[in-house]
Amino acid sequence: MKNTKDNACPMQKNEGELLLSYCAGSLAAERVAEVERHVGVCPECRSWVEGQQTVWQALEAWEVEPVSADFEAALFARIAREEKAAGWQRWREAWRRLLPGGLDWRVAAPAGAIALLLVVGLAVENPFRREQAEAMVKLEAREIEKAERALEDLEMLRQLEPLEEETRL
Amino acid sequence: MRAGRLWLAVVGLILAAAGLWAQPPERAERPHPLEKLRRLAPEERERVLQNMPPERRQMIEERLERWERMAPRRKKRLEGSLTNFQQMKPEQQQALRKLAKRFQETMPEDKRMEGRRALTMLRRLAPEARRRVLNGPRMRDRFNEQERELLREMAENMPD
Repeated sequence: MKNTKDNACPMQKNEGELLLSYCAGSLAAERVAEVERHVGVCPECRSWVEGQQTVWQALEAWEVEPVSADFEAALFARIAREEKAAGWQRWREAWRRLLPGGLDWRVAAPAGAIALLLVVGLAVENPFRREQAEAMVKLEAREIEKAERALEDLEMLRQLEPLEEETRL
Repeated sequence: MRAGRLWLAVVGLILAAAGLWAQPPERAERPHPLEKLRRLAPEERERVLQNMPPERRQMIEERLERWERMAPRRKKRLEGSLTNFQQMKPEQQQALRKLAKRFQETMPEDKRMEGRRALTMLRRLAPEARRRVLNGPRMRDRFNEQERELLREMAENMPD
């Protein structure tokens, strides 16, 4: 406490820690008297100490609000939501990389709408599937005709060959 | 530039989806339609035949039944004949169908069995031997000229 003994101002000597310890009440008793003597004559240090004491008093008066029972659950849910949002953000970034300059919704929205309409249209009335189904029906009909013709031909061949017992002779 | 890429991506997606929908059915070794018809469960066969005219349906059912009742050995032999017949050219098949029809319509009933027997023998002969037999006394006694000509044509056209 050479500074205070010599009436040197701790603020001017860049020894703010001394005043800080005084305000915090952690300064030794014999030095407290020295600081108080200096503060009594130094308006700058008095002002600093008063300001500091106001802060300490406010901190001592501050009461922590109680948290709700589901505080932690709500907190983790919020973290998860924000991580999910971050995933969506990454997806958007990927699109931005694919489309330099970002996704222009004035173009993307009509393009997406047309694609959606086409997909829904194809799902409801898929011409390819209808052709396939018709082909299967036709194939079935053709197959019946083929089977019928084969039966006719078998009948013809049967009528042209001798009976079993005759063939063996 | 950016819009162009986006449209390209959209068109690509649509074409890919359409391509998936339009995929042709898998190709596999299919049994002959007659075999498929024979293997059908009774209710399925009923479904297939239900919309046919009654006469046509009856004929199919009778022929299928006759086929099922046939002795295995004869069935096997006829299957072989049918396979050979189906490998003939369409015009040859049609010609043989016409000849068979002529046989049924013009050959007197009492001669048909003998005609079938003669046909079996003639099919085994070489063309020259076949001609000699057809012009021989025994054949001339049993069949007139048109009948012998019909037998010759049939023997030449029938599958093995």
